[in-house]
Formats: sequence, C-alpha cells, structure tokens
Amino acid sequence: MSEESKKRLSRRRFVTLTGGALVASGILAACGDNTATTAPAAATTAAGSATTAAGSATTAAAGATTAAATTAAAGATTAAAGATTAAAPAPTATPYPTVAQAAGSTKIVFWHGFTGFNAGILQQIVNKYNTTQQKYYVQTVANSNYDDTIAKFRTALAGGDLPNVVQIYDIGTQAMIDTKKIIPVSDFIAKDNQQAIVDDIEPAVASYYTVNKVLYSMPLNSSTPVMYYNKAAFKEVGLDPDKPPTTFSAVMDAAKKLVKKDGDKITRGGVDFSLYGWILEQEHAEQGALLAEPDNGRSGTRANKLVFNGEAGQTYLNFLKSILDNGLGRSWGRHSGTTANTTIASNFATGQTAMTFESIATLRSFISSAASSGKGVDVGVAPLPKPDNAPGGVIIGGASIWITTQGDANTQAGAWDFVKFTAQPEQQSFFASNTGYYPTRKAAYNLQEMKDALAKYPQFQVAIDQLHNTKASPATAGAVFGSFSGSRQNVEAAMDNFMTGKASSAKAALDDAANKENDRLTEYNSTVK
Amino acid sequence: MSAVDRPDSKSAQPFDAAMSTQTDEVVTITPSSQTTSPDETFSNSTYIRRRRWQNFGWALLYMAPALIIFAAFTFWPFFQSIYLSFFVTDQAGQTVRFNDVQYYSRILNLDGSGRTEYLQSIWVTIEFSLMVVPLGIVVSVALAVLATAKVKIIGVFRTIFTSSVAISVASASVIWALIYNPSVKATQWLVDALHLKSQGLLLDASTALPSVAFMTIWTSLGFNFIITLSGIQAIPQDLYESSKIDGANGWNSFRFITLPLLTPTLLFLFIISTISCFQAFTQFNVLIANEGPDGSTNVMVYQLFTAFFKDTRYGFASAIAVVLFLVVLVLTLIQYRLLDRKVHYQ
Repeated sequence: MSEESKKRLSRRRFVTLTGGALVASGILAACGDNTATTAPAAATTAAGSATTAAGSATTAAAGATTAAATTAAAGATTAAAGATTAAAPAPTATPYPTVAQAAGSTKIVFWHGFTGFNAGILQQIVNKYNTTQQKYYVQTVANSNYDDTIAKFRTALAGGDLPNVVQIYDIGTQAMIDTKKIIPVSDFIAKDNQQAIVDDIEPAVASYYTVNKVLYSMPLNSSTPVMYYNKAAFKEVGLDPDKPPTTFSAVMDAAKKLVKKDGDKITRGGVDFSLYGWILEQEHAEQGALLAEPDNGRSGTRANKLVFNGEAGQTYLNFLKSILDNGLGRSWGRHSGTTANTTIASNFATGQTAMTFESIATLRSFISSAASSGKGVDVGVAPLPKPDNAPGGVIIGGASIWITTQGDANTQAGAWDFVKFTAQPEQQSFFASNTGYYPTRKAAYNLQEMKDALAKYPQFQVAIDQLHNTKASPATAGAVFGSFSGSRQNVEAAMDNFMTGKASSAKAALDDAANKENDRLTEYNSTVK
Repeated sequence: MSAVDRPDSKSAQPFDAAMSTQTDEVVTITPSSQTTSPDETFSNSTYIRRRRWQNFGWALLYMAPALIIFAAFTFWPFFQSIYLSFFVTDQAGQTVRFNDVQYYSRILNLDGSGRTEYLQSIWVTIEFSLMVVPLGIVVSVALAVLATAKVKIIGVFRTIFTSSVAISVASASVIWALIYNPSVKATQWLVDALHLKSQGLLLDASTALPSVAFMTIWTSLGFNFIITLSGIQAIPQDLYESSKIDGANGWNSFRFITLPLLTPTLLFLFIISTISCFQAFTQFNVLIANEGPDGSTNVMVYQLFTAFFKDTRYGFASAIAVVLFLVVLVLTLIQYRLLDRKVHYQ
C-alpha cells in the first residue's frame, strides 16, 4: 500500500470517525462507555449535512424560514421571562377554547397578533360571534406578535393564501394600503349604510386610520402612552400624590426627591425608562411637530421625507440624557430588547422605580403585579410629560383589522359582518374593560360594564382625558409611511447611541437615524406603483 | 474493495475511490488493457464509457430522493438569492427593478455613503467566532481528557458534560436570558465588579458580545465534548502503553499522542464551529432582539434578518446572504489550507 493511498484512506476514516461519532453521540451520552461504531453511510450523511448547513443559511429564503421559527421562539421567551420575573403578570398560557363550526356556515379566517391573556379576551368575542349567528364561522389564527403577523401576511402575498381578516398594528397602515390586497372598510360602510359607526368612533382613533379621507381598516384596540407613578413613594418624600408632574422640568424636580441611592448605585429610580421609538413619536405630537413630510403623509401626497431629527426629538433625547447624567434614574435599554419591558414592569411593581412611561394598555397588569408583590406600591397614572411650553397631544397606538380581497363576495361579506360585530359598543366595552385598551366607540362609555371598569380603575380615566384633550392636527394624527414598520429599530439605536455617549449629540444621533430611514423610505416609495 | 487491490492506486482518480464497487472493477481492468493490442483498447474504452454512463444513471437514480430535496430547498433558494441580490423588490418580494451591484457596494461601503455598519457586522461576526471557537474547543478537549479517567462513576460525568447537547439553542437562550436579566440579579455581582455604567451585562457595549459568546460556548459544549471524546477513544491504547514503557508522564502522552492524533477531529470541530458561529442567530434574537448596545452584537445573520423581516428588502437581505456565504467559504478554505498540513492522519 503506497503512502498516498494510505493517507487518502485514512482521511476517509477521519470523516467516518467524526461523522460516526455524531450518530453515536446519543448512545454515548446514555451509556457512558462505548466505542464509536462507525458506518460509512453515517459519515457521508454527516459530511453532507455539514456542507448543506453552510449553503442553506446563506440563502435568504432558507435563512428566513429559520428566522421565522426562532422569532416565534423568541416571542415565547419574552412571555416566559415575564412570567418568571417576580412581579410580571402571569398570562394564561393555554389558548381560550374555541367553539365548533356550524354546518353550512362560511369560514372566515382571522389572523391576529395577540398572545396570552389578550388572545383569550379576543377569542371570547369571536366565540360570541360564532354562537350568535350561523351564517359565518370565524376561525382565529394567533401569531406571536404584531411584527410576525405583518411578516407572515407579506409572505402570504407572494403565496396567495391570505386570511380574510387580519389584525395589523398602527404603523403597518401605509404598507397594508400598498399591498393592494385589501378592501377599505369605507367601501363596506357605504354599501351597508353604516356611517353611524364611523361617526361614533373616537375621533383620534378614526383620524389615525383615515388616510386621504378613506377609512381603510376598522380599529380594534387602541392605546396611548402615559406616565405611571408610585403614589406611595410620592407620599413618602412629601410630594402630592394627586398632583403628578406633567412637564419635563417638573418630572426632573420630582425625580430628585424620589431617587434613592446606595453610594453611587441607584436603588430606586426617580424615573426609569426604556429607549422606545413610540414615545419619541409621541413627544413629537406633544410639541406639534411632524415625523414625516408632507403632513405626516396624510394629505394625499405620500410621505417622502422623515424629519424626526428636528428640535422636538432632540428635546426629548436631551431630557432622557439629563436624567442619566444627573443620576435621577436608569435606562433599561432598547424597548425592542427582550429585557427592558419585564425589568421595568418588575421594578415598578416592587417599588424600585418611582416613575416610568408605558402604554395605558399595561395598566391592568401593572396594578395586579403591584398588588401581588406586596411592596405597597400604589399605581398612579398621569398624562405623558411634555416639554414645558408644548401644546400637548398624543397619537393613538394599537391595532386595527383589515379585510382582504381573499375569497368570493360571500366570504368578503362575512368578513365585513364580523368586523362590524367587533366594532359594536358591547364588544368594545368588553374588550376595553378587560384589557386596558380604550373602547374605540364613544357609545361604549354608556354601557354599565365600561362604567364599572372606570369606577374600579379610575386611573383609566386619566388616559381617556388625555386622548380627549388632544386637538386634531396632522401632528397628532400620527405619521403614515410605507417603511414605518422597520423604522423604530434605527430610531432606538440612535437613542441608545446618544445615551451611551457614542453619538456626540442628540442631533448627531437622530440625523444618522433619519439618514438611514430616509434611504429606506426612498427605496420603499420607488417600489410602489 | 480496497486500495490494495489496485495495481497502481496513483492513477486512480480521487472520486473513483468514493465510487461503487463496480467502478473499481473497471479501474482494475485499465492497466491490464495497456499491454493488449490497440483494437482491444478501443473496444475496451467504449465499453468503459458505456459502463460509466450506465453507472452515472444508476447513481442519479439512487441519489434522486436526496437530490430533489436539495434542489428544491437548497440549490434553488441559493441561486434565487444570488439573483435577487441584484434587484430591488417590493414588500411581497417581487422584483421591481434591476439594481446592479449597488447592494454589494453598500455592504462593503464602496459607494461613498459612509455606511460602515455592514462592514462592522462582518467584523462583529468574526469577533464572535474568535471568542467562541478556540475557547469552546479548549474546554471540550480538557473535559474529554478528564472524561477518559478510569474512575468508577465516569459515566455520570460524561452524561453531565454531554447534557447541553440535548438542549436546543432556543431553550438555552431562554435560560440564559433569565440568568442575564437584570431583575433576576444573578449576574449583578459581575456588573458591579466591572463597574459598568449600564444596568446589565447584555445592556453594555463592552460585555454584550462576550456574554452571548459565553452562552454559546456552554450550548455547544455538549456536541464538542462528544466529538472530542470519541476522537480520543479512537486512539489505539497500545500507543499509550508503549509510551508508558518509554517512561512518558501524563502530560507527555497527551502532548505527543493524544493531541496529534486528535487533530483530524479538532480540524472538523474547528470548521463546524466556525460555520455555526457565522450562522448564529437564535441566541442573538432571544437574548437581545436588536443590534445590541452600540451595535456591539450586530452579527451578519441579524442584519440579514432585519433586512428581510423588518425592512422587507428581499434584495438587500439576499446580498447580505451572498456576502456571508462568500466570507464563510473563504474562511473555510483558508482553514483547510493552513490547518490541513498540521493534521496528523493515522
């Protein structure tokens, strides 16, 4: 046997050995002692799969599938992390039971982005619809979050298997319009003579989902951000718990009294926050500033330039930075990160955070976790603070439901029938009183259920007043632009860069983000016919 | 079939060695035909050619199930990616216009836009591999050597060392997300000891990447350990016995027997680990879910994910994928070239 062939043969044995080891691994783990019995077949498979791995991740599509799977896992993770953290609420993990489809009914497929508790509340509404009439049957498909829902919808655009009704978050509005696979609810409203519904929708909510005078989707769940504060801590340091600070400078003053330190280390944050693109957008509305030109994309001309790098955004970033620089509170990182929400929620519930900014939709979970932590935290809600001389006003957030072009006329009519059902005051009152979102219908406030909820949770009223006090304008209507759904990523990166000192000024940080986002927006607009 | 049967193994093509028994029979005919008349050679070669085609047909037939799956799920998306990387697409992924190599020049910062974050992400990926691969291998070799000790309940230890192989990266990430979570306070001592300005290991630009790397080493330890241990167990015992007779101590037998004979296994691990580091995504998405503080954990696959799912820029995502593929390809080739020479085959 020549040296050459010997080597070649040995090399094969190397592959065989290592590959066989792969297969034998299980046995080894179990038995502890063995010799790796090798089979040539196993070796080739192992070597083959190794190269495949290299190939598959590099193809976007293949990589994408894996990514989707892991995102789902990540979503679950966040929930899991939340559940384990001392104070976070424990959402019901098991899906709410569905009812059986009645014979002869038309099936309507409904995708939504709720999980846990909220998904259960929504399912109860769907069940009510399915049991109160026999013509249509709504089948819910839950996705792990809003991001995944729109991503899945986009994937389905190419495949063609769209749902009949889909819940999409606020910032997906322009992108959904651009898919050209949706039917504006305005069309159904006109056909069905249901203008009364539109007239009764909360004006701020209706104006958000109305683009160029067309109401494209039916709002389902709406919220705004508020400031949560611990009334007990206010009392403790001699602040009036019924007069929370409403401006940046007042918040700073209160935080000076509220902050507790152990040496250099903050043990109770006067004001703790996450780096949240949504709040930055809100602060633009508070100051009457636009996020996008022209007119936040609402006047019939598509938004073509993002201007969130102006004075308004800088003022907010400088406010956050001065909280850190003066040692009055802590930043818990980017809101899109996995730990920021759960950490702030748990710190607030255990009295380690005196003030923070979050959506009113989390009110119920804040109250219940504060109660279960036993640290005597008394949850107070105040309007979102604004710069001292700003006019004020907030943009609604949340999601709406869209009717797609999928299915025949009967199916589409069924989709509208269901959408109409969810927009009734009874359903809105049920959803709002159980979650913490606003009812989208004004009439819902006249129902006993809603009245009881407001009596039980008076904090809710603060958020409702904040919404009602907002004057309608393009700035408070919020921006619509096609690349919105990915834009907070860069905005939050900019906020982070400024907080850590990587960016020299708020302007530099925001300029960089605006630059990147304008680049994306220009490309997006160029792809829309 | 074996190389010994061959009159002249040097003349055999490398792929012949991997082919079926039938081919080898054909090859053994070849040298004997050289001594016969030209006529016979001619008929023989047409015969060989026919046999070859026949074999090829059979080979295709046998490989068909795998080939079809590979073609549909690997080759087709792969070429589709290359194609898409030259186009701008709409949000449904349909090509809208030809984009030349603009996405590539953007990634490599050749278009004068000053956007260095993509080059940065290549560097972050390399940094991540440098943290994970060498340390991961050193630890697994150390554990594997420990696990060959002849003590009573060694099986229990082997099971413990192997256990992380049974945990998927996603589940492991959930566990570590809790460990690193600032409100759990399990790593607070480290945050304090390092005098970090941020509130947690994953929130600070200087510690985020090492934290993810540490978690990745832990996760891949089980697999690395199994491979290394089986590599060590494949080394013939008589070598150790004779070295003992020669008076070698434990270190010497490790240095001059175990390590050299383990090099094929280590090369395999080295390449596999590097590739998996370049493809790492799950732990970044679960632990951090964005580009990390100051972009410090912005690995290429995360960029790809963002471009594809958040920005719906299919073309750009594809271009990143192609660049990632090329980087991995080049690195693997370099590793083979540099390290193969140092590998001792038995």
